[in-house]
Amino acid sequence: MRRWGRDLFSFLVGPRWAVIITAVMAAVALVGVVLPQLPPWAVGDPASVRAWLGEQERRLGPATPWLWRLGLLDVFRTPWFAAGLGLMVASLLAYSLSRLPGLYASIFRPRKWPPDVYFDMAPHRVEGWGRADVVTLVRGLRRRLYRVEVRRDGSIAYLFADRFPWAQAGTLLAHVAVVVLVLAAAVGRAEAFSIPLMVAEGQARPVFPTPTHPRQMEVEVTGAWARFDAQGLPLQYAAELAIFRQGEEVARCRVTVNSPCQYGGYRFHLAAYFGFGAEVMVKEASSGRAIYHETVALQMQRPAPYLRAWEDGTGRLAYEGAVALGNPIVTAQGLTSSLALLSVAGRDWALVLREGKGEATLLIADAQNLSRAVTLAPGEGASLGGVRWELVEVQKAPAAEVADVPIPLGQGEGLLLQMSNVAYGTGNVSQGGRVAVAGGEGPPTLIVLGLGDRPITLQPGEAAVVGPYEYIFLGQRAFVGIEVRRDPSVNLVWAGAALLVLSLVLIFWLPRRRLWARLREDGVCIVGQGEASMDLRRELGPLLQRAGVFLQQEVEEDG
Amino acid sequence: MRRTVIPLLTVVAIAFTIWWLEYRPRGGGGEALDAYGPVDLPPALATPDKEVAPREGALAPDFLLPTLDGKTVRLSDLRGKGVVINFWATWCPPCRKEMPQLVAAYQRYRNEGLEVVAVNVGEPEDRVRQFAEEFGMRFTVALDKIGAVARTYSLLGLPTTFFVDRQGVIRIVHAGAFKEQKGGIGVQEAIGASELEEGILQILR
Repeated sequence: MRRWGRDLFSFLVGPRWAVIITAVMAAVALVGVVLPQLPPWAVGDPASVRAWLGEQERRLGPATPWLWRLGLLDVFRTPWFAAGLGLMVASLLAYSLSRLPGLYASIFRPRKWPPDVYFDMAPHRVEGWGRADVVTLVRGLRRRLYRVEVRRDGSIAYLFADRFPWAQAGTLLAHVAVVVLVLAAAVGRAEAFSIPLMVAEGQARPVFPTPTHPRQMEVEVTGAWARFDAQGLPLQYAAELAIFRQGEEVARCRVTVNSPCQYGGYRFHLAAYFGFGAEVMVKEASSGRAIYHETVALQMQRPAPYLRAWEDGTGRLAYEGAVALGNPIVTAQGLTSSLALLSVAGRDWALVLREGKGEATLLIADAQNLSRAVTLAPGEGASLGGVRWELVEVQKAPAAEVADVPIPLGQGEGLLLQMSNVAYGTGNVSQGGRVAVAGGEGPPTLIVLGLGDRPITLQPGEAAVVGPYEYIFLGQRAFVGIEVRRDPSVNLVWAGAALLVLSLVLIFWLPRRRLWARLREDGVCIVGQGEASMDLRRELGPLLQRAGVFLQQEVEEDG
Repeated sequence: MRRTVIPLLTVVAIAFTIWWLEYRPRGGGGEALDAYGPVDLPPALATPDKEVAPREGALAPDFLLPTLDGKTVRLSDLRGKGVVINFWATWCPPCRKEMPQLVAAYQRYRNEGLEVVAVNVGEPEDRVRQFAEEFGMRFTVALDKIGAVARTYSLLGLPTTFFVDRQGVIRIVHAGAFKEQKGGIGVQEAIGASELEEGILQILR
């Protein structure tokens, strides 16, 4: 039995085996990199596996089922890969263990009193004349953190001095660190995953794509907040999340970018914030039943001229706000024109915003007599038809085209939603874009174009009935980007990295030394053991001189 | 001989250990025991020439689930009616989009023997109730919180709809939302041209 054990051990630590197993695992890992691998979120869910294999069949063809049966599409989770990895780890561990006895002896049972011939033949020695003061020498070595022992043999004194002997364990620790990091890589490759979700306030999203996933969870955003500076750049954003599993709430937490939520080994990181969503509901006016209820992301930025208009006679402010324009028409010269109809002071006005070559002008015309018109640049004002107009500026308002909203017969095929009076924010906070304030003070306003020839303006909670439908603006909502991550190898990576750093410190930073000294009447010989670059003469020269020794040239021999 | 056998035995031992730790069959399920979920079809309703499976031409697997109104629904109790089993969730945009069609279809065909069972997968009851009230879902809304019935029906995604005829046979399995007529018509008019109505007519024959 002992012979079998010895044979097994020598097999595992053998260089031929190490080369074979390393080459095999490298080849297998290459297969795992070249061929598509089953994503971690599909593991354990037969429905997800079937769906994924169906996708792969389009790329890999009829060989897909065979590749799957051989485990080549999930290499890192196959039993044979685990076995190979286990053997490689066993080999590394065996090699590390094989060094233990020698290391133990070297650290705890060093040879303290070598024969005299050692002093004549050892590399790294320094010799000097004179009778050394042993007390001075011992005291000096101890001040240099050596542990010193003295033995006398007649008139000759032998010293053994040892400093940081346990630093030799650094190489062993480095091997263990490699083993831990290899395991971490394997575990991480097989189990780690990350899924991005974009969730609107008040809504939930499942973490895994298939509804029947055995670890399925849902993330609901119950609130979202953001803070911006005066230039509209984000300072901070946060969200409150509720985590559900099998229909029950299992966790609730507030997350920021640096403070994720944790549940069941999963971390929920806040990754993005988008502040311009509009929650819209459409009901059948007759029954009151909802037939549409969505939070629309207003990702476009549309020009919105901000106008003020006063009645010339009374000076009353008749209109102030950002105007929602229809879809732009692009001319052959690359200019765009966008139109709108506006009712001010009891009359209808046609507005045409022309943009191109970095400039914008607004043409305001009497809808009853289009020949009566003025053209304003931003900051300009003019009187027309008893109204004094001022184009304050052309703002950018968040907007979206929505095609699947129910629309009465005879209308178009989609709606344009534009939000006004929104707070400072950005198109995508996590990328640092900017959207200037659109509109003025007051609550966010949703402008709906496409239901009739006039835009419909709704404040939060307001509704408008058009034909058989009631359109309700429920309010501005934020979208929150959540990244769901799981990586069981994190702790292993930390442990491996810590071991590696510690081993490097022990190997390269701690000045390990072992000295043997022979002190005779006529001279001193000191032999040292340490790293190859040590300079005994420089290190011990001053101490030896204080002990009454005149130094010869340090002798170094090869081998 | 020893130098070959020992490595082989080592490989076998490590492989067995890994299999034992990771892949051995484990008794019992990971899910909590629950009275609800898939159930066996009553023997009186099973026919020898048809298997029970979630595919077209087979008998629909039976299930028992709680409903929003505090009762329970068992699929086999609806034998003799045409049943539309719709698996859905509030977070699923196509589910939200097609729900008005299901509501309208139920109103139109309920007196002709149509039953709709909307099986919500994995969501809290409060959220489902709010949605059901908003959209006026007057048919049976069943709660499959742990997803056991969804797994029995081998769902790959939501929505998935099973059209079950009066004999309990699945006639159509429809994955995804129903196509509706485009172009600005009302929901009621959409029924006349949609895949949903075609399926309903088939199971009500």
